[in-house]
Amino acid sequence: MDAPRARDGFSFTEGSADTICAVASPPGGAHRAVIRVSGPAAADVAELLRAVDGAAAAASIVPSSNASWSSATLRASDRHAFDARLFDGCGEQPVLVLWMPGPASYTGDDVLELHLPGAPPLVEAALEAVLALGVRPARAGEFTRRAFASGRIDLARAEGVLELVEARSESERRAATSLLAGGLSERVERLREPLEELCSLCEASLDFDESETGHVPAELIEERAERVARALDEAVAWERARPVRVRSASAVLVGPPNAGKSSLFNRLTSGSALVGPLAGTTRDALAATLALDGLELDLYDLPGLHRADGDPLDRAAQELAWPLVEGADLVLVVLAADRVDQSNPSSGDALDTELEAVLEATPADVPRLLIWNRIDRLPGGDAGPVAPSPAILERVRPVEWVATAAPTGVGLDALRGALGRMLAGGAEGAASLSREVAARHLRGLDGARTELAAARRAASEGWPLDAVASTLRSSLAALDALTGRSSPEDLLDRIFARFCLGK
Amino acid sequence: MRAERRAPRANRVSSTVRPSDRPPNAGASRSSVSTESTHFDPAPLDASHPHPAPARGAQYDVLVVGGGHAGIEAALAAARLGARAALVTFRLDRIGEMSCNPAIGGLGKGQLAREVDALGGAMGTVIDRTGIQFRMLNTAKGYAVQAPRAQADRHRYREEATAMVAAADGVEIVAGGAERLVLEDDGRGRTRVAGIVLGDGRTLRAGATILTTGTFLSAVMHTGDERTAGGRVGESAATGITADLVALGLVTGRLKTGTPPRLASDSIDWERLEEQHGDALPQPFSLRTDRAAFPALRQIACHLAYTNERTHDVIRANIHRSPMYSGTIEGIGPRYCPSVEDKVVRFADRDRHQLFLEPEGLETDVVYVNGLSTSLPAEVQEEFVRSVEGLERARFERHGYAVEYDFVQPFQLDPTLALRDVPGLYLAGQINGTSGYEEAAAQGLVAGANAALWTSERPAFVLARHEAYIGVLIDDLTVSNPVEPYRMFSSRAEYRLMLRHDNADKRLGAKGAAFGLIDADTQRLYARRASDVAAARELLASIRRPGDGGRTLLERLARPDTTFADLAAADERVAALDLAPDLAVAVEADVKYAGYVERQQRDVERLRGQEHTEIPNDFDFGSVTGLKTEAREKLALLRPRTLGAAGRIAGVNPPDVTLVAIHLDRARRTRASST
Repeated sequence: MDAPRARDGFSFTEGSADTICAVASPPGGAHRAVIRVSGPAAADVAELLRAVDGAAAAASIVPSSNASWSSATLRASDRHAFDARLFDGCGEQPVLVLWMPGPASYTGDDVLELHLPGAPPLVEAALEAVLALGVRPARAGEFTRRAFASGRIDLARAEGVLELVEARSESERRAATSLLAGGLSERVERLREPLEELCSLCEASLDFDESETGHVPAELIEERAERVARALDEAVAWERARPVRVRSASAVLVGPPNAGKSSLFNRLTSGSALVGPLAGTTRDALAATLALDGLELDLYDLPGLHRADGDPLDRAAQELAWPLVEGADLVLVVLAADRVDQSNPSSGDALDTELEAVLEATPADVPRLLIWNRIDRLPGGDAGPVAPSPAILERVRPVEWVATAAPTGVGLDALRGALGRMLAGGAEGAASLSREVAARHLRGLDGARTELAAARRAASEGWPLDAVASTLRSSLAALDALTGRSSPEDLLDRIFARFCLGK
Repeated sequence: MRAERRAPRANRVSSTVRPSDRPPNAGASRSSVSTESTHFDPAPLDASHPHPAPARGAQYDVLVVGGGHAGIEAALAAARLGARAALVTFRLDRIGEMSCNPAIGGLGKGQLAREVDALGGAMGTVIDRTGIQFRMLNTAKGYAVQAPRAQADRHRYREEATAMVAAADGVEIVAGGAERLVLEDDGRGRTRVAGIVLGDGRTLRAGATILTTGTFLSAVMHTGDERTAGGRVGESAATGITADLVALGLVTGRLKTGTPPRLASDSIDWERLEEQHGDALPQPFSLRTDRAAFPALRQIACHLAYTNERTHDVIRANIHRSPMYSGTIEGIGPRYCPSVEDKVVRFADRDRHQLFLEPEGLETDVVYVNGLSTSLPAEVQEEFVRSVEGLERARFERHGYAVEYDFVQPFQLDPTLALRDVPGLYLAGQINGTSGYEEAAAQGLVAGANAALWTSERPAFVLARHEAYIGVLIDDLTVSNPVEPYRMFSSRAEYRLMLRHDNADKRLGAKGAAFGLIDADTQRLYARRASDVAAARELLASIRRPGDGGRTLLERLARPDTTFADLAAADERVAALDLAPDLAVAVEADVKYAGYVERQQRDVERLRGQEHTEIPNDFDFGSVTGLKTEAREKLALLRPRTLGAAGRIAGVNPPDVTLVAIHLDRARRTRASST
């Protein structure tokens, strides 16, 4: 059952015969989520999902009494919709199963879609069940590439989508760097470094046997491998332990001390059950989740960000805070209206220096919202003139600004409205995207770990180093699939940098 | 044909495989071992040449300039394919000279030498007849990275190579120096190369001209601050050709290589040095070598010596006199074969470096000091060499020197080794920025074969990366602008576990035969080897030993701790096969690595579409919107021939490849609709 090759043998992306899947739902808290499976094995997926033993799998599907299917019946049938129920271990939900055989489908492949309620844990479980069958998570834009390759969409549209893909990979990067204790891609990079080092040790040993320097003791390789394996175990465990709740968009509150960030945070999140100290901080860094018009927003209150030379506790808090700031979808700059010298915003006083530090610390390409706080303290109260001066706007360069007074609740609705607007525009699809990102990361890490374990087992069973090295390379490739790198030349460079090789 | 093997597994989706699902340590975890040995999917046999074939009727079909290791294989391969070939060389007695190390093979290179031999090349036969020490290197590290190496008698190697070229049907040897290229309009608006003009004014005209001029282009030799024009001691440089190449618009670069001192044998205290012997059962390089008459020459030992702190002190004190460090040399030297100056400076923490003392022949007094490449002044060389234990009285036959030379940036080559923009011109060997006899021979064979095929209007001979190290070498070259001489390493071959020295005949035999590179006798020889292997596998699969969990001997052999010899010792039916030692290795490697190889084949399969999608020579990368700047610049410079090659360029990422693919498709559609 070879893949029907897209149009007369032309195929321009690797793995174009794979069966792939991803969440293809509209962004945010959509009522329905769609899991799309595309490829030659889509019918098998349908059959296996149905056949899977509900006790062992993340999820299984039971067709309703008047609908049933097997891979053979699907292959023989036209476009069709089936009613079914999805069991995810906790309960059951109605699910609509759509079968769209190629070549008339969107991608030109056989396509299977599961339409289910948009509850993240349920979607996660269903996605997990599909991936567990050996289906590869789709890369960003891959459905579109297939659609183009099979002639279903024209070039202009494909190019448009590819541009979007590029844009998405930026937000994907941000998504990856944002979660709780720092960026995933940074963690991947930290894992990659010793793994690549290990590979280059083996390669040096394989390619330079003759000179004494080409000799790398087996114990050294095992010791390094063990260290990398531990780090990978930790990374996988970390990733697994992460709340099943998928990533929503994130925003950080930044600003000089006493601008009123904390009282704003409290007002915005009052009634939210999820408020709590940010993991690892000893001071008052806080995280909470807001619900805004069907979109979720993780909000972080990060004091201490601006103090570059703070005490050790501050520094620890800052280390945790930076990745959050860099990975944020929105930066909320809070300024105290009554404390900024309106007539002379660059007077060089302490407040100004602090503002400068805060602005420098936030990436310029992340949209900013200026919260013009404490308007109740302005002379004349909140009835007086409240707009920030052009000089302030010029410095902060916000997309929007809102005036607020946390204690009285003035402007909070406007703030929620602005957040909702910016999220809908700027972080489109963040929720569904992050489901894919999270699944992909876990798979990449787990793949790397499995390969490394296989390599170590092979070494201990007495397999020669060249065979062991090929499995190690697969481990590295699994990590590289996460960051989009590939590197035989990298390996050689590393070998030459570290080893004196004669002959 | 391969469909059954990828049939869906029970309860699994067949077209993709998760990491945890792959056989990690293949052999051991497989419940059964196929009796069928590994299958290779060759690249297509109908590859095309970059230019329309020339008119016939020139004096020669193929003219080879240079009598080094590339030149020899080029002329012989062309002749094997029926071309009328000529080989032009400065000196008739220098065909097959080993300018540097008198040895063939080694890691990565031994596999290349085996492939050249499997395709009917001369190198294996010549070294088998003239080798004075044969060793299989790296046997402890696996079947894929082990490789043969042999020490040669330098003079006999040259004599043997010269004799072989002289005796070949269809090769004429012409003495002379190539002064200029014959350039003319090809009638399609391009300048083509139609032969060469010799120093004495004679003009030789040919359909295809292959330059294998090694390090002789604008070559300068350095010993300390002494500079001499020339590519090898006692021989002059070729300068006119460089000017012609530049006039043709080709981009050239400058590289550096070095050679160590040669010492007089009777001045070395041999008994104080550690001996290093060849293998007890030496294996020939060539499958065609008659084992009864091998080895042909008396075998000798090499010796090991070590530098010490005093040696390093002398070098450090004089480092400013090394042309490399004083900035006199512009070319960049190789990192993998560093000069001793380099080793001392870059690896300051090491208190000694190993040296190999290798006699250059049976009847010569000259000893090659491997590991001591240097361009320091003569008196400094003498001082530091004499600080080495055992070399205190060393007498120099020749001092070490560095050579700087021009090379042509290889990204201008087609995979046939023809220049993409100059009809009639092929390049092979060091002129393409490579290092080593084996790399040169491999390119010579490919260039010679393709020049002959092109002039006779037959499809081109191109090997893929999963077929041969030769394929890796040429694919790498065609998308690189090397900053140091390119040397083969096994780590360059991503399908290394498939590309073993033990299966070169199996990998390349069919293709060699299809193109006419190997004769009927050789084909019969390969077929016999294949049937011996098949018979052995069949026998092993048919024997179950009691008390071994019902496993067959073949399954037993799949485990890492069992060798063919173990099985032969335990079972007389296996012993009775009397399998040749190299075939026993081939069977072992095939059986043990089957799982790994299957996995690599899946990778080949997965990338097939991308590998086979060609990018036309005139494709305008500037027209591709959305490319990252770095990717655009590199693609425009290196002009990869396929999407696969594009993806291997550093700085070109998967989204860039996809964009190129989309534009290629648009270009193709536009062409299709306009015709």
